Amino acid sequence: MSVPIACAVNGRDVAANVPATARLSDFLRDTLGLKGTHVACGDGVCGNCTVIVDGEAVRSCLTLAAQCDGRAIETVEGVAEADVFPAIRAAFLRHNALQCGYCTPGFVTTIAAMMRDNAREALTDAEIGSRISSVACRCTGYVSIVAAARALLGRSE
Amino acid sequence: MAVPAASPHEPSYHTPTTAREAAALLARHGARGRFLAGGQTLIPELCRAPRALDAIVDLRNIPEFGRIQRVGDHIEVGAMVTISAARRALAADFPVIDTCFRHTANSAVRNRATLGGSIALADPASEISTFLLAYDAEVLLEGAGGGRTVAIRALLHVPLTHGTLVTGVRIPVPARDRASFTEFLRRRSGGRSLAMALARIAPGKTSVTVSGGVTQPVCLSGTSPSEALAALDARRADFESDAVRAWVVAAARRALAEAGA
Amino acid sequence: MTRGDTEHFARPSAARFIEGRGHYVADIVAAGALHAVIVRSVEAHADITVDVAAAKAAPGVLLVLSGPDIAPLFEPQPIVWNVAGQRRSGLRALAVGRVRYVGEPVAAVVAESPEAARHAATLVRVDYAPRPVVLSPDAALREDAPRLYEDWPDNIVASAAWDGGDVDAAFAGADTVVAGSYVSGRVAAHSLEARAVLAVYDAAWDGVTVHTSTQAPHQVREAIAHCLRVPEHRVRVMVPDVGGAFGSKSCPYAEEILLAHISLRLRAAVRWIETRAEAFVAAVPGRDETVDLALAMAADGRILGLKSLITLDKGAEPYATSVGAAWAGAMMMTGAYRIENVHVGVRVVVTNKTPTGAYRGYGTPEVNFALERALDEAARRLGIDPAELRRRNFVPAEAMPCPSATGLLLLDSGRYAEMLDLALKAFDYDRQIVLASEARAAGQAAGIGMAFYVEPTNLGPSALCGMIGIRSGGFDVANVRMEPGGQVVVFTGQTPMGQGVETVLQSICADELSIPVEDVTVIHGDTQACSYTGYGSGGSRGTGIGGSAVMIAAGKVREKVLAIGAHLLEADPAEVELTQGGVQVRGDGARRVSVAEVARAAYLAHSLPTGTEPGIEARATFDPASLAITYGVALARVEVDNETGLVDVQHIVFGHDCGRQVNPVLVEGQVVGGIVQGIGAALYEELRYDARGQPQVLSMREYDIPFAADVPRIDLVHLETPSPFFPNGAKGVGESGVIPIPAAIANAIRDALGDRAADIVNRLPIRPENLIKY
Repeated sequence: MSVPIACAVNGRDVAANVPATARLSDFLRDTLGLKGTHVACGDGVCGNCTVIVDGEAVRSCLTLAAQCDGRAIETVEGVAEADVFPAIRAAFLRHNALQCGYCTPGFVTTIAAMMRDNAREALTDAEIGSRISSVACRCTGYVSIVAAARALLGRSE
Repeated sequence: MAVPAASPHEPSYHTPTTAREAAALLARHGARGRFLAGGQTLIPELCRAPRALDAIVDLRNIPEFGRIQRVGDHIEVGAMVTISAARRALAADFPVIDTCFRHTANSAVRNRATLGGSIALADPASEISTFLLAYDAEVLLEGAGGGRTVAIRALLHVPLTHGTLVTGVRIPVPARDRASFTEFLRRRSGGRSLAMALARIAPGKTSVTVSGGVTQPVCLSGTSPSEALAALDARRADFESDAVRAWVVAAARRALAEAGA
Repeated sequence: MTRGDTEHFARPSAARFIEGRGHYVADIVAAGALHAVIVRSVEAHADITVDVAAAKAAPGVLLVLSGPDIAPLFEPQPIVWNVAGQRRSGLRALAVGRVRYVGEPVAAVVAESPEAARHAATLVRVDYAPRPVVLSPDAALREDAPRLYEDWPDNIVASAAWDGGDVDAAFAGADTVVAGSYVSGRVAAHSLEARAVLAVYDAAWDGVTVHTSTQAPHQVREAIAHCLRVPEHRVRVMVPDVGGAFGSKSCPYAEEILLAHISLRLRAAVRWIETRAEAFVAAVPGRDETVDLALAMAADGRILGLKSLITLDKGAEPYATSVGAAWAGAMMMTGAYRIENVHVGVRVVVTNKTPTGAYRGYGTPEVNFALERALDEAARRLGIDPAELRRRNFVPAEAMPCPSATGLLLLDSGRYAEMLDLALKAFDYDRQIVLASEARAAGQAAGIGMAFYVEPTNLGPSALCGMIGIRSGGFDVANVRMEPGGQVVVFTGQTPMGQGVETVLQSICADELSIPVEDVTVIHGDTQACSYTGYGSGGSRGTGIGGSAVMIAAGKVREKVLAIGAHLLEADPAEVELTQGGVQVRGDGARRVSVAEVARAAYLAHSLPTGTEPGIEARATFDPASLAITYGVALARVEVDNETGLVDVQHIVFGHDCGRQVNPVLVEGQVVGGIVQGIGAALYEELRYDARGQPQVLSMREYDIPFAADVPRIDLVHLETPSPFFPNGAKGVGESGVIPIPAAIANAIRDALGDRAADIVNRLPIRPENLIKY
């Protein structure tokens, strides 16, 4: 069955009829052509597919497109046009916080959501650590990513 | 914008606005229908067996499933409240919930996984089950015969009948007690829990709720920490290996020590 | 490259990934492309019959292939590393009549949509007549063991031994002998991008372009042409961005060959995307090796002799890199030490598990683990400090280049003792030893461990490759072209996969030509455009070999630019220099022409120096005379919780010397990334099988790669001792981090827990279950 959805993706209104079992990750990538969101495990563990839905980081591989009716979705492409991005871009380059780039969108969205939450009310160090540890990277060994993230959140390394 | 045509095998998709409607929808489809809460468990299953379902009943439009409210000396939390939201909202009355839910899956999954979904899943290594059991929670159910309430303990060992819907939980607000949670994980960053313990120390009553390996959470109590530990020791055979036993006992001891500190 | 200048980013080209504009195989838009799903064996060892009738009849299905369909059409899969006398399996891309591991490809289904293909795949009927399974070398080597290949007398792919000196005399004269069996468990490279192939038929040249996530485009092309019996000019391989590889994408795969065939056959585009569950059973895993090692020691700590037997559990088939890891390990067995009496044996055994392949370190971590654990035990037994014991056995700098006793390894350059001292100082070793001892006395299980390593990089001299059985050469070819506008294009056979080699080559070329980095573009990953490289991007050869070829080619371009520039300036060629994007007379800034003007003159050819050809383009090959041996040391401090067995790695100091560092930030990235993979292998990661040969790890839930919170404090120190054999002085570093970490952590745990841990820590991963003190 086709499910009608009306949502916002990166600030633009999107209306579509989606298969009931279509994953948000597939909808974003294949239907909307937003290839920046990457699927790596399909189980919600690796976090590479993370997008922001109504301000919260979620696994797009564990979200149905059908569940997104009425929601505001932001992918890495959306974050790339947002106010937080120039700082994210500079921090990632400065700290060499990526190598193959596959996990990078998952970190960018996760960190963007953190920056916005942190601006409202300071996140605890434990919470920061917990969220940074929610995305898997196999290349960098994380030291550079953590350094970039903490710099973006105004914390010392 | 190219949308793939829905195949004839796609399940129907429903967004009922009442619990009764949801239960009725599922009853109509029997084993080929499923409730969709946060989807963190159902969605991977859907992908493994795409043609197994005729109907998905999405619970997100049922208003009372999102409630978090004080009702007398209880807190009622609706089934669709996410782990993240519960962790924030209950922190004032249950300070231990912050550490308790810290390693449930990961931060993004916690933003979607729900209390109701977690209860229905009854994963042995579940911080949610441990917490609810430790605090004597009751689970509100809606089924073919209408609504009923059961203690969480009953649901840990006997899976919910297919079609029974968790509508919420009711947790007694604790009188002043000191609580602490200890968990051992294979990785510091998370992953599968090896063992966990939630200790509560109140005047004249100490309890420690533990789980480890494939064993569902169990609550041991006594008038003192040592009595609670003795009760745990009497249940050694419940745990599947020396290692799991060791982890469970270590978690219990540390949680009790920290609660008593 | 200005290090420390924060606005001069080490890798500016990485910006697009941050914006979500990476471009991986699964991102390529190919309207109308068909979808392929591979049906895989669910039994570890069985005779099979395959019935595809129902699958063929399913809606949307265009083609279903099984083994008997392709057997007459395909050649067997090539083997990257062939040694004399090794046995072959005759494996083809789909199993014919028999399967030997869970995950082995049995059929390929091609349909109009992923859903149709997945559904049709469930309709492929495979009947299994199970056979007994063998799941370990011990089991496979028994007299009565079930054989995987009827035409083999046993389950051994190949075996060999090398000797140096008189090892029996050495052991007879030893003051003490330390012996052990050191096991590196089976691990997954686990790049976050799994594999993916998009094969696109093009009628214009009746050929197929295969877009694939690989480290070795030319080798994939060769394999496809060979297996499908088509001329190479009908096959083009293109590699977009690669989301990590670590060796697991360095060999040609059945799926690449199948997809190319399907595309040519159907004259259509067809795509296959590997799922994570597939990756765990179908992409080559690493390690799964046992090293039995004995060291004959003198009382003063000198290693008198070494005997070892390396047993590699190859899994079910000897294809891909075959015996390579065992052979490479044999080469590296003696490490950084002067050991004159050596016997090293290797044997590679087949079992009913996924075939192993290359994974970061490729044989060196496995032998390093054994050697450094054994030395640690020797130090204890002899009452000598572990660091001092290493020092007494190092090959000294002045003795290099120094061949090992077996002749397999040439230590080219290095300052081992100086490196050790540098790292010990950074670690505050003496004080940490005392603190750990005091902690233990107070009941806290703290421990210190170390491991020194040498790493073969810049693989390698073609003659050496031939000698040791690698099916390709080790040379590299680079083309550097200056365009009419003065910008430069570098064509390389190297393939970026996150390591930043494109950035390194860009900077090498720019430096050579004194032009801005932004004026250099690096083209890679396209067999049509890019020059051939013998070995792909592996063996830590990108900077040393790829970079040297670029440097030499750029050097030729430089000479031509100077000659034409001198001609334009009517100056003597000896008087001019290339500086800041132009040719000028030395000391006279007024007499100057820009590189762009030189290029224009070259492409106009109206007036060129006599004998000068129009245009500016140069080709260079580089075939190294030797491997380059990178080296270093890891020091670790751990604390173990006796009650739970959980290990807290608190601090790692890692010293390394990879020769001249062309891009220090990228080097650091490689080292840290490798260290964290090493932590995973030491403590968390293992691909387990049950008694029926069923893999127990099919999702990331069951496979614990490290996340950020699992990373301890890491401090790096380094030296830069250039290799005499490489024009740019650079050695490789991509595999360094992963090599010594398991031994360092194991030694630290052993230090923390005492004798009760001495055997437990000889098997990786070291699990908390096994460390609990009851």
